[in-house]
Amino acid sequence: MAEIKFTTSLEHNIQVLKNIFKNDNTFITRIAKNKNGLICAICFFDGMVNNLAINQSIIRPIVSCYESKVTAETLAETIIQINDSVVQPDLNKMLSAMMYGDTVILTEGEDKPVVVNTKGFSVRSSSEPDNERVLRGPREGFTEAFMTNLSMIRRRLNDTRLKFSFSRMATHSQTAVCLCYLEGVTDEKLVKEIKKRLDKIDLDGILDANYIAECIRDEQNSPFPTLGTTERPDVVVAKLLEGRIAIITDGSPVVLTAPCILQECIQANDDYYLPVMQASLARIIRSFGIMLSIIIPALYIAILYYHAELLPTRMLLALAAAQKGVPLPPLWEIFTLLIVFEILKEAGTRTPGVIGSTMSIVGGLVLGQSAVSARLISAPAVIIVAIAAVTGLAAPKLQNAALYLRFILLVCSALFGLYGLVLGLSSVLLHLCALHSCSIPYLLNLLPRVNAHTEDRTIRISWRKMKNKRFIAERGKK
Amino acid sequence: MKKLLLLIICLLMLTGCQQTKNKRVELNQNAGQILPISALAIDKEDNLYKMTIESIRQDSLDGEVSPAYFSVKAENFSDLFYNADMMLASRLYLSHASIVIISEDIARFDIDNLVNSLIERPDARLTIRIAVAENSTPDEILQAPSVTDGIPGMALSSLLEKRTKDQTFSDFPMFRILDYRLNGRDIALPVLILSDDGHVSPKSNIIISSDGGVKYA
Repeated sequence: MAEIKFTTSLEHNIQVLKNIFKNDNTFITRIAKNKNGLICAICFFDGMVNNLAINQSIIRPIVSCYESKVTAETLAETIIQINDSVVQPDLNKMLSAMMYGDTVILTEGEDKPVVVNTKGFSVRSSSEPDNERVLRGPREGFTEAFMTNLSMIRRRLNDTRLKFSFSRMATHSQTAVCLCYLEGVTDEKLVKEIKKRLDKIDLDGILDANYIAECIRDEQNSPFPTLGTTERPDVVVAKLLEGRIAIITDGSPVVLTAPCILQECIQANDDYYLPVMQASLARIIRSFGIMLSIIIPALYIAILYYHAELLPTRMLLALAAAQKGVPLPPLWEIFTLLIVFEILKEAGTRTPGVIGSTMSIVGGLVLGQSAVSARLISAPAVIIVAIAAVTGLAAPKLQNAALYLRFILLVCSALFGLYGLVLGLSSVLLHLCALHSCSIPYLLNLLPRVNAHTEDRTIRISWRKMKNKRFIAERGKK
Repeated sequence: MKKLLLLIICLLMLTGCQQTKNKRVELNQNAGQILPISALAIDKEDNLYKMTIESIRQDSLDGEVSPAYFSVKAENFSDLFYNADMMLASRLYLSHASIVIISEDIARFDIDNLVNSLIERPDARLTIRIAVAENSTPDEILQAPSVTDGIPGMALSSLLEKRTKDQTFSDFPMFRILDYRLNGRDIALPVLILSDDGHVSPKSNIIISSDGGVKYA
């Protein structure tokens, strides 16, 4: 930020600001005078402010007041009719505020500006996040507007212990970042640890929460998420109640939560909005689905290549018949199809809605069917990859991990059969055992040794029976 | 890293030894392709052992499963399997073999050698049933046209399984034969006969003592 200094000369102060923002046509300075000779300069950025508020609550009171000379304090406290107006002696903070939609009022004979909250830039209205849809429960989602996002959390959590700790990050973007936690519920060490990590961030700009996530997350090379992400305020509040911390980034609808454990990757947002039995069953199916998605291509290759004796005779014959005339060996078939699927998925994500669905039909159905008919690939290989792809969608938070593990296990199986598969899975388990998120074991609640005395594990338990709802916090206190 | 390496080595040890003979198979490559065998019929002719092999094949997903037969001769059982392997471009694959039909002579005097030869093969299962052919040669029993409900060998095995479940016949798969013979006990094998109308059915049990003596029950 530029070094600036104001004097008691209004003209000089205006010129200082104009010099700083020269060649910037959105910077506007409006001079307001009253009959008794009071002159004020109102500085703001076009498009960032609420014009009505400036006209009615700043210009009108100044023009209609009777003072010929006022101090900055008088101006802020008695003349300006806006709830948030302060004298800001720190000129760097004044500039930051002005660039973020606040209005600066300079007056003759004062070297301290008054900063008035007149933010009025347009923001997207709240809608249900596309990638976190629920069958039942709140439909509200975060937007790109920082304060709106905070209000969504505050509205759901009427607790004096709810804390929002602001800071500005990144050299150029000076992005507002808010650390949100429940004092007394969240472990203090965790708060300190996250603050320490945030302080170390040294970036030019932060345009999304992922900029921060990459800088502060544990185990950068792990395919498993060690920081939670959500676009839903109800999820953030639920996590705060469990003793987690939320990091809200200005300009991003994605809120980070820490720590993140494997258990929450298997949970769905509406687990707690559905009846216990339904949610528990869904949770079991999800766990099974993601395991199937990771293992099935590798298992198919292991059995086909090394352990054909495990197959019933009819199935072996059917598989052998399906392979007849196919130019590629099964391993390369699966490998190619998995890559094609990932390409289709990537292309589908980036393509607009209608074209996206057309492409899915052409890519998935027509191409797959034609390739099988032309005997370029075998039908069982298509089925296996389709199962892996569909079951992988059961736990969206683990999709990235599933993608990597699918390929790694496939190679292990192709090299050593079922032994390779078991070896690969054991290595994954070892990795998970060693993994921590903000000093909390990643397998918390899933393995006996890292049990946190909570009843809500693989099976969802009803609220009536749940005694310990703050397992993250309790764990932190140990 | 050291710990991880150590654990991986330990895991490798824990998983046991990989069978060196259990080679990788490519189902669509002739050189490595496996030829599933459903049944064997072994007889003795002119001091040579003759083995008729029933293989199963399916040419397309919507095609029928059909049996195919070929025979080999050798002086001993090990050579029988070796010769059969040498005849094929693909691999003789005994994992899906469910029955071995033998003549009474072999049942009386060569059952131990036969069981040992089968055990030597990594792909043969210990649950293979052994049946004795009466009034016909083993390959006639195996290829009897009226039994062909899909694959004759598999149908015969299913028939024997059904009959042992209702305790009409003793259940003597290969592992039990091995166990009984090692302990010097008598074994009981089902006897299959071919009727005039070409129908194969289990007739009785043949009880074979360790010295080769037989009686029917």
